[in-house]
Amino acid sequence: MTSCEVECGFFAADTLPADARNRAYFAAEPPSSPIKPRLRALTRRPINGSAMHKYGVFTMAARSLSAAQIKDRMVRAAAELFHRQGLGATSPDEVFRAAGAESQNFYYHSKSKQGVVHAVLRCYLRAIENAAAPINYEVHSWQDLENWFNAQIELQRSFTMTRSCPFGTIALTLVNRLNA
Amino acid sequence: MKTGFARGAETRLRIIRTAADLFHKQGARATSPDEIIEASGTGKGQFYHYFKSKEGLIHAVLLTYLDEIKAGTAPVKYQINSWSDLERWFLANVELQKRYEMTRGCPFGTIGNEVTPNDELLRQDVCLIFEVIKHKLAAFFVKEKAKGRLVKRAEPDRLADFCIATIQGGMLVGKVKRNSQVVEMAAREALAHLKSHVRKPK
Repeated sequence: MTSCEVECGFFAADTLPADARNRAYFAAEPPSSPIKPRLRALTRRPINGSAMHKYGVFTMAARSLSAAQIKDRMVRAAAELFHRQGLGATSPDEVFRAAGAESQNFYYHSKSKQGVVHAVLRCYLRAIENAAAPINYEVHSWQDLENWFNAQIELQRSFTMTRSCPFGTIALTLVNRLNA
Repeated sequence: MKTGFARGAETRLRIIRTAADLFHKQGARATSPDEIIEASGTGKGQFYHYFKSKEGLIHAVLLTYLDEIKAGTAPVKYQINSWSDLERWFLANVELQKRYEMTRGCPFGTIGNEVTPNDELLRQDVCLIFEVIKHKLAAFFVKEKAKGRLVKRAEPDRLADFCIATIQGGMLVGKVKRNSQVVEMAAREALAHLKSHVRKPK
C-alpha cells in the first residue's frame, strides 16, 4: 500500500466512509477482526510500553508487512501522537511502539524524527488537496464557509476539546526548532 | 551585602526568566531541566529546591506572566480605555513577535497548545491567563456599551473572546509564514468588525 492516509484524529474513524478503507489499512489482519475499535482504544490510553507490546495490534502482523505499509503505519501513529500531545512530548520510541514496528525500522524508514514530521505534514496536505480530510475546504457558498468553521470545532469536539488544530499543534513547536 | 533570602529570590527569578524564554522559543516539552539549568547558570540542587519538577517550573512561569498582566508590567498593555488602545493592544502583540523576527508565537499560546489531558493544572493556569485578558478587554466594551456608544446587539464577552481568538490565530499563522503582515491584516479586519458595533449618530 503506497498511499499515505493518516488514521489519526484528523482522519477520525467516524469520518471514514466504509469498512473497505479500514480493511485496506490493515491488510495483514483478517478483515473480520474488530481492529479499529481496539486501535482507537489503545491510542487513547496513556502510553504504557508493556501494555502496548502485550496488546499491540500491529506487533504480531508487522513482520508480514511491506516497507511501505510499515512506513504508512508509522506515519499514522505519529500523526495521532503529535496531534494529541505535540511534537516535543513524542519520542521516536513512542511512535514505533504505537505503530507496532521494530525499533530500528523508525530510523530505517524515516531517518529522523524530522523525517516523520515531514511525512505527517505531507499526508495532511495530500488529504486537503484530495478532499479526503474531515473538513471540507472547497468553499462555494456562505453556507460552505459556515460549515468550514463548524467542521473545525466538530473536530475539536470529537476529542472533547482536549486538542487543537492538528497542523497548528505541530507548527507551534516545529517552526521554532528548525530555526534554532 | 545581600541577605540569603534576597539572593535566593533572585536565583529563582533568573531560572523563571530563562525558562520562560526557552519555553517561548522552543516549547515547554522540548526544553529539558538541564537546558534551563545551563542557560540560567544555576545548579541542579537550586533548580529542584525552588521547583520540585518541570511542571512546577511551568506553573511558576505562567504565574509570573499572570502577575505581569495584572500589574501592567507586561510588554503588551492590557488596560484598554479607548479604541486606539485596543488597536495598540493588537499591534503590541505583533510587535512582540517582530522582536523575535516572527520566529515565535504567543508565549502563553505556545505553552497552552502543548497541554494534554494529563496537565490539568497547567491547562487551568493558561485558561486563567486568557480569562484575565478577556475580562480586561470586555471591561472596555462594557464601559462603551454603558455609555450608549455600542449597538444593543453588542455582547462585550463575545467581542472580547473574538479579539483573543483573532490574535491567537493570527500569531500562529504569522509565525508559520514568518510574516507580520498576516497578523496586521487580521487585526485590521477584526477592528473593522468590532467597530461595526459602534452606534451611528442619528
